[in-house]
Order: sequence, then C-alpha cells, then structure tokens
Amino acid sequence: MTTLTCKKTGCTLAQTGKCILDNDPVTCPDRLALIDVLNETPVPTDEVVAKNEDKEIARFKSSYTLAPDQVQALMNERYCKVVGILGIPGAGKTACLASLYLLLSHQKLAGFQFRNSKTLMAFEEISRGAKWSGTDQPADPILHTAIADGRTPGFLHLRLCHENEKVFDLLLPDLPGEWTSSLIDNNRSERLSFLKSAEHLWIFVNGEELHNVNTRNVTIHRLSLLFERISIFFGAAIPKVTLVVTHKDQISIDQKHLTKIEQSAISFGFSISIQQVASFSANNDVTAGDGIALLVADLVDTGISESDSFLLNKENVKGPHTRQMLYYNQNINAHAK
Amino acid sequence: MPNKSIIVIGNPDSGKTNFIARLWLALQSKKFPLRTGKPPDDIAYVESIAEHLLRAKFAPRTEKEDVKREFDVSVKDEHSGAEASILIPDINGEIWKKAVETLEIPTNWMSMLTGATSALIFVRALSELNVQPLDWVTSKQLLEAGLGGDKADQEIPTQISMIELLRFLEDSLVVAKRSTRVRIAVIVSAWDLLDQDQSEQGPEQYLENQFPLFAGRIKDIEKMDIQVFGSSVVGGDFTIEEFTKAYQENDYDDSGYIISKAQDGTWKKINDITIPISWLLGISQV
Repeated sequence: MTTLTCKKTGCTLAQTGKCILDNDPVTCPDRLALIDVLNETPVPTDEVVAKNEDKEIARFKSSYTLAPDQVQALMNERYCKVVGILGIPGAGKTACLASLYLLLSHQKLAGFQFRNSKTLMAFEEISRGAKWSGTDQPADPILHTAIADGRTPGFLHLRLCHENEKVFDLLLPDLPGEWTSSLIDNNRSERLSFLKSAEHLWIFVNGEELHNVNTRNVTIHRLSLLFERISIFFGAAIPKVTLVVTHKDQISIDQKHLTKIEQSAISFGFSISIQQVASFSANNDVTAGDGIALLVADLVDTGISESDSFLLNKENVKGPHTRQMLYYNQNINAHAK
Repeated sequence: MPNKSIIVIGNPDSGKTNFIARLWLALQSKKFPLRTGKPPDDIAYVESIAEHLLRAKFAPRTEKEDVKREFDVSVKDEHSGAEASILIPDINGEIWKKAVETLEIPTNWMSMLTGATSALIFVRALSELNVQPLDWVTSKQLLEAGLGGDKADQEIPTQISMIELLRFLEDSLVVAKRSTRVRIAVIVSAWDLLDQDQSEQGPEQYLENQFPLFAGRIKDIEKMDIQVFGSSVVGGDFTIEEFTKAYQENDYDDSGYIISKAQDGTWKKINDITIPISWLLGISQV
C-alpha cells in the first residue's frame, strides 16, 4: 500500500492521512499542482544528482553488464560479433570468462591486445567471484540489473585487436546455467531468442564429468538433447558451434568419447569443433588460461549471422540489414588499412 | 576569468600535487618558453606545496577532501606569443578513488570536470599504492567462495581505475561542444625511479608492460587526443642523501624533466616540466 504524500509546506498528509486544509487528497489542487511539477521534472538517468545529507552528489555511468537495449544501441553503431554461451551449471562458463579477462589483464592472450570494454567493472566483478546464485535471480543485483527479471540477458563487451591489426567487438552474454538446463528439460527458448543473432555458439561442458565413468554417459546424453534443441531452435541458420571442454589441467579425455559427441551433433544436422580449456590450473604442465586464446582466435574470421532477430526493437534500427552494412563497412575499412 | 581549465586526475600517491608544485616553480622561474604573465592574486595553495620542494621534500599526500586547492594563473609562450589563463584544480586522489568505486562524486567536482578543456592523468611508477590485477590463484579462490564479505577488501586494480577515470573524462568532456578536440596528457610520474632498461623503452612501453589494459585503451580513443609523457619533478629521490645534497647545492630550476616523444618516434629527456601543459594548451605539438 502506498502512503499518500504532499509536498506543500506544512501539510501533514503523510503523517496523519489528512490534508492540512481538509481537502480530499485525491482532488486537492495544491497537491495535484505539485505532482504535476514533479512529473514535468526530467528524471535524471546517466548523471543522477541525488541530495546527500549535506552535499549534492553526481553520478557517472557504470560499466557493468549491458542490458539488451544498450546492446542494440551499440550494435546499431558498429558491427559486434555475438557469441552465444550455453552450458549447464558448473560447466565452467563464468570461470572461462574470468580467465579470459585475466589473460587480457596480464597481456597473456596470445595474438590479441585489449582495446576497450564497456563492461569493464562487470569483468572485474566476475573475476572476483560474482556469479549466479543457482537460480534465475542474480547473486549481485548491481552487476546483473539487466537480468533481474530472469528473462533478459546481461551482456559483456570486449573490443580486441588481433595480431593482424583487425579490431573487432565481442558481445558475450553472461547467462545462468539454469537457462541451458531449462532449454533441455522444458524447451524454454523464448528468452534465448537473442542467440539467433550469434555468429558463434560456445557450448560448455565440464571435462571432469566427461572423464568420470559415473557421469560420462549422462553428460553425453544431455549434450545430445541440447544439440537437438539447438537444431530445432536455429533451423537452417545455425551458427558455428564450438564445444568447450573445461578442466583441461585435470583430465585427459579419450578421443572416442569426443567422437561420439561430434557424431551426435552431425546427426542433428550440424558439425562442431572441440576446444579444451583450462580456465585455472592446478597442474604445473598446463598454464592457467590454456586454450582460451584459440577459442577467441576462432572468432576472428567467423562470418556474420544470417539473422537480425536480436534487434527486437525495430524502432531503434536505423534501417534493414543494419548489421550486414556494418559488417561490410568494417571489412572494407580493414582492407583499406 | 580563466579561458582554459586543466583537470588533474589520478589515484592517491600518483604525483599530481608535486607536479603542480614544480610546474608553478617552472612557470615562475621564466627560464622556459611557457611563463607566468601577470602574477596571480591567490598563490597561497601553490606556494604551500612548492615550499616542500624548495625544502628538498616531496609534498605529502593531502588528507582533507574539501580544502580548495586550485592553481589559477595566466601564462604566455615566449616563442609563439600565445597566451592563456589557466585554472588547474588539484582534486584529492581519494575523491577519484572513491568515484571509481562508487561512481559518485560531489557535484562541485563534477562541475570542475565538465568545465575542463583538457586533462592530466597521473600514474606513479613503482608506487606502493599501485594495485596489480588479480592472479588466477586468487581469482579461483574468490570464484569458489562467491562474492561475499571480502569484496570491500579487494582493491580495484590501478589499470582499471585509470580506464574508468579516462571513461569519466570521455563522457564528461567530449559531450560538451568544443571548437577543438580535447587533449589528454597521461603522465607517468617518478620516472627517475625506473632502471635504465625501463627508462630507455619510454613511457608508452612502460604502460604496455605494467598496465596493458590501460595501454590498449588509450589506443582506442576516437574523440580525444592523447599523449603520454614521463615526468620527474626534481630528477631524483629525496630519500637518497647524496641526491638531496646535490639538489640543495645546485639551482633547483635545473632539476626535473619530462620524457616526451619526438616526431621521429624517439623519446627525449627535456629539462622543462611545462611541456605537457604547452601541449594541452595547443601551444606545442610536442
């Protein structure tokens, strides 16, 4: 229940529920006039000026995850490669994103240099342990405001420079593993519709579960179900798919199991490549971050998605085929250099 | 009324205040092309910090946030005849640190920021307060623990702070309509503390080695001009007795230098601390 308030000097409506002039609060002209003034006052968004107790405070924009409307604005401005990231809880998605960020922070992502990120503090928070709490609700409401309703994704942004001097933008959705589980179990795909703009799909699987005899068959079976869901979801316009097998530092996976997974994908009409990674390492022979540079390198020449469906809010789109135009322009510029 | 305002940005212990003190002494010495014109009315603040250098001590880190610390002076370039009236507010590093952590800043400082025509960003070489990026071991522990009560204990890495400060500048300065592109000078202070190998590589390579994310970020600025300098306000360290003795015996106007990139791409050591200011004012192309 909302308490009625009145900004008129001396009015005790909020405290007593009665207008100091005995007017009906619903029709009181003094109260309504002040409400009109408040409604006409622009609501500050980016640089909110809030009254502190004794001094005014201004606020800068944040660099946490991007909401879909921010992503749309960015994608209308420049061509961005969207990487769809799927994987059940514990597959190692967040650890891989954290490790990618650490590799850049230490200038150890072979073949790449950092150029920019509109979500720098989000990466910083992720590397410090911000993660999904295991439900559709985020662990950190500040970090994941964009996905607070559990239906819209938050995106991470990176601009990298490849050793071939090509600069490109990546958009990486930071999704809870439960979204993949519910895609498999309940075919909940509506909130993943943005994936249809993805140039590349990374499907994460915990390498330990593929290695362990007690979990291997279940894991392969669940991957097979996921492949089937993906093939139906994307139809003919399926993007390039990489199976990212984590925990490379701890396990070695028999090729026959990987072959079985590859064949499963083929049976649903698409092929996959496999990349093993060690986001962290407890093994002196494997460097932390191993395999991640190859994962990113594979994105450099990935072609544009056939779908523009992520640009859901058509009012914001400058014109048809915006992404194709930006992609074309980017490549023309790259060749001109 | 100043027609130029140079905002000075940097974390605590990044060298801002000592640079301003040395700049004042250099302008006032009238030995370099950029000089003071009419003496400013209020020089109490710059005199208070310059006194430390004149007594062979570095100005201590300032603790109070709200003390007015401005440097308002008319300058003239003897070569070109160009004149400018500049205001250099020295905002406490703690305020910038807090701004990065909370995204909040007192509105009076925000006004200073949005009113600036150019900026100096400081980072101090080898500062004990520089925070390194997380390593994999720590990150893994934090990931396993989840984001909890230790969050406040984790300092934001220096390179992230610098990128965020640069972003604040980009958002604040570029939005205002200006007839010329905004110039940003990045100053690596305490350059004299680096060994010969590091020093010879120059300030840009130093940033690449120590703060790779920031080094990459400044290559991606489209709407501002950025120039990197190294600086040593007195050319040495007052904790070294021999240096201090020599400094006190010799003319302090000869102390201190700027490492600046020449047009041929080589790095030059120049005994003129005013060089970044000349560049920011558009008087020199460096």
